[in-house]
Amino acid sequence: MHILGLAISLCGFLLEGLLILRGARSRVFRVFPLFYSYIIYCFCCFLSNYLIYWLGPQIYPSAYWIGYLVSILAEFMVLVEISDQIFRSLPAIRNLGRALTILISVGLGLLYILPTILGSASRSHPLLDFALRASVIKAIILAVLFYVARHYGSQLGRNVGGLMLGFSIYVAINVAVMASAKAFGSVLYAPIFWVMLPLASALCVLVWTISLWELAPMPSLRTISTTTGRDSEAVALELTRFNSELSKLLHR
Amino acid sequence: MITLIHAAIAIAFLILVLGLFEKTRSHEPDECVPDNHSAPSIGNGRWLQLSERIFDSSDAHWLAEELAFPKLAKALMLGRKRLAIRWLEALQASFDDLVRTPQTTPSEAAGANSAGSWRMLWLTIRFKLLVSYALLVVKLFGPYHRLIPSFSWIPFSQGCERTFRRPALANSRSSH
Repeated sequence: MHILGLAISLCGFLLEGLLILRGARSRVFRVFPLFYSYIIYCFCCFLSNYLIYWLGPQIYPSAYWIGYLVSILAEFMVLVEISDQIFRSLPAIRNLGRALTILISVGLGLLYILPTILGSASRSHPLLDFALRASVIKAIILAVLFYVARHYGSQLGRNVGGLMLGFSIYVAINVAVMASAKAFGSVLYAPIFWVMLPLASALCVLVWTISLWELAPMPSLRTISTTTGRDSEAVALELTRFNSELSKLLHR
Repeated sequence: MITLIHAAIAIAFLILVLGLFEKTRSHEPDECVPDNHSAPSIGNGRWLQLSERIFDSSDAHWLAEELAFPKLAKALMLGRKRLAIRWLEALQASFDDLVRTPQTTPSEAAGANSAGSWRMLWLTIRFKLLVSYALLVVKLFGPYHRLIPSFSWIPFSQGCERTFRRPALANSRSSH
């Protein structure tokens, strides 16, 4: 189990390297800056952990857990990237995804995660609880983003769709694995935990590598004609007009 | 038990995501626009004048008080209520069409976090909240109910109202 876990981790690491190389070549870097900074962070984190494991094994556990905690927070960058990309072609709601992500993260962070941190002394597995709750919040954000994108008929495209699909698989496996680990106990579940977390990560990076292999234009941007599309200023004027007409009606 | 709930959450989430992903992919570009009723343009003056007629209570008052036809006035009010709801829904549909309108210049889309984008988002959310509120009031109390409650019984509110109305009046005069 131990070797299998290491092999899967190594596959994930190689895929991350491939993704970075491919991103640099096809210039996808510029379009998804937050996502690629997260991938570079993961790549560097794995590399430094590997070096620490061989050079200073006594500090490896602390280094691993610090890296793991930061990565839980860094994963929110992927969500911000996805939320920025979904409504990119719709000027009226371009920042809706980011606003939703920030609002849900802050709201649920205060109500759902903060109690775990504050009451960590009385809990048996505070870190596991924290990671599980953070994953549940990420799942909620993804589901909300999917729903809103569908409601507004936003075409995801291959790149953004792949980002969402890969991250959804990762988050779903994380929630299931962490909940099982919490219920069955770390001693019983540790070998499975050792394989399943790298597997979730490797699967996610595999989907990302396939979907981001080439820069695919957003379908809605591709199909815009000058008769149906408008520029931002015209949309802003129309929005103001709608609001003023409605305000007139309300003040009647 | 909690494990089962979390496992169910994970499975349900995956199914939901895959389902939504498949549906979003299979959408045709024009399919997302609802066409159950044609959404009129906000620039259509006649359509805006129609709202003044729908939400004007003078006809119903005239029927009920001057001609003494309370039943007819009630029937008129019910008809106007249906019209008001349809008008507000059409306004909402027209607004949704505007929100779903893609941008003509893709290069402009790169500047995603400008102040203008946040302002447009605020205008969108404001409109959505106001139109939902207006629909709720019309459905509950009818088209002739005040959409913004009157605070005239509060002594200081009259002063405030005057202060807020003055610039609005000045604006309306300057626009004419």
